Amino acid sequence: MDLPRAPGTVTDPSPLPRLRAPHLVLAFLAVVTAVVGSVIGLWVVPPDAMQGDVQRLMYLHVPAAWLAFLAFFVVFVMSVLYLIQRDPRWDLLAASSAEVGVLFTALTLVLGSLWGKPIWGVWWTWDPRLTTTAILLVIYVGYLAVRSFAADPERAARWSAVVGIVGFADVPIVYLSVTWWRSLHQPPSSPQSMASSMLWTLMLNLVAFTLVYAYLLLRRYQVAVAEQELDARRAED
Amino acid sequence: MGYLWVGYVLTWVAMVWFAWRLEARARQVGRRLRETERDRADERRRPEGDHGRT
Repeated sequence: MDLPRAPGTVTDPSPLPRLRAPHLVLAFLAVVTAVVGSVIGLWVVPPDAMQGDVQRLMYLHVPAAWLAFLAFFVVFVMSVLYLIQRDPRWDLLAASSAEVGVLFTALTLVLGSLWGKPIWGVWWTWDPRLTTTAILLVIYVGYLAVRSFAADPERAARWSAVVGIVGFADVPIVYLSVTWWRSLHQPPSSPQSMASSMLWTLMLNLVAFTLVYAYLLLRRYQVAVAEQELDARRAED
Repeated sequence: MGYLWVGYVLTWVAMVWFAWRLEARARQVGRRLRETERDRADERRRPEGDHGRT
């Protein structure tokens, strides 16, 4: 990944305008694929024979869950890199990815609940998959809280990196919960168990969510770098 | 059908809201950076011995 250089130097006086083009390109591609993916998911692909139209929520629920996993994997990798190299860029990337991951996890839970009410008859049940996903949300809200509570930025980065590494242990538990324990939640679908039109719609929406994630991550990281630079300048003045 | 529409609208409203907030924050921090840059340039242009007195 091409990381922006430290802002405020002679060669790079303002990081935000310099990186305007990549994030606008990502935003444009994300909007186009999201619109196409939603139109196909809502109106083109046929409804599920058993569940009817409400099954179309899976074209959002599943990509949101996958992107939450990806976001927390990025937090894990960046946290390890930060603890090894102590480069603040890794810490800022980890924090940026955690914020976006929390958004995707919250969406996963809300969309799952909206699907659960008509299909299971309940908004929420203490099923292993649901419970471990709720714990995942609490872990990364805690990660963000650790960052905001610690007064010293270096200490905040170190503590949150530890939370980011330890907290990632819940991601494989969430994924495997449907096979480890008796669960109301359906096991992972495979390409063989889905109609090809449904599979392609799911993949298209996955691309849309990935582009949204890339845009939000890049933009959040740019803002974090600029805010750090502003704090540094204020400390100098 | 109600659950389906609530899900789709909620998802895209949440994402647009998150991006909107981020863009507002980016504009704000960009403006502050430019202000500090301008203040520093003013400071450099001041004549020798003048430390901000009017």
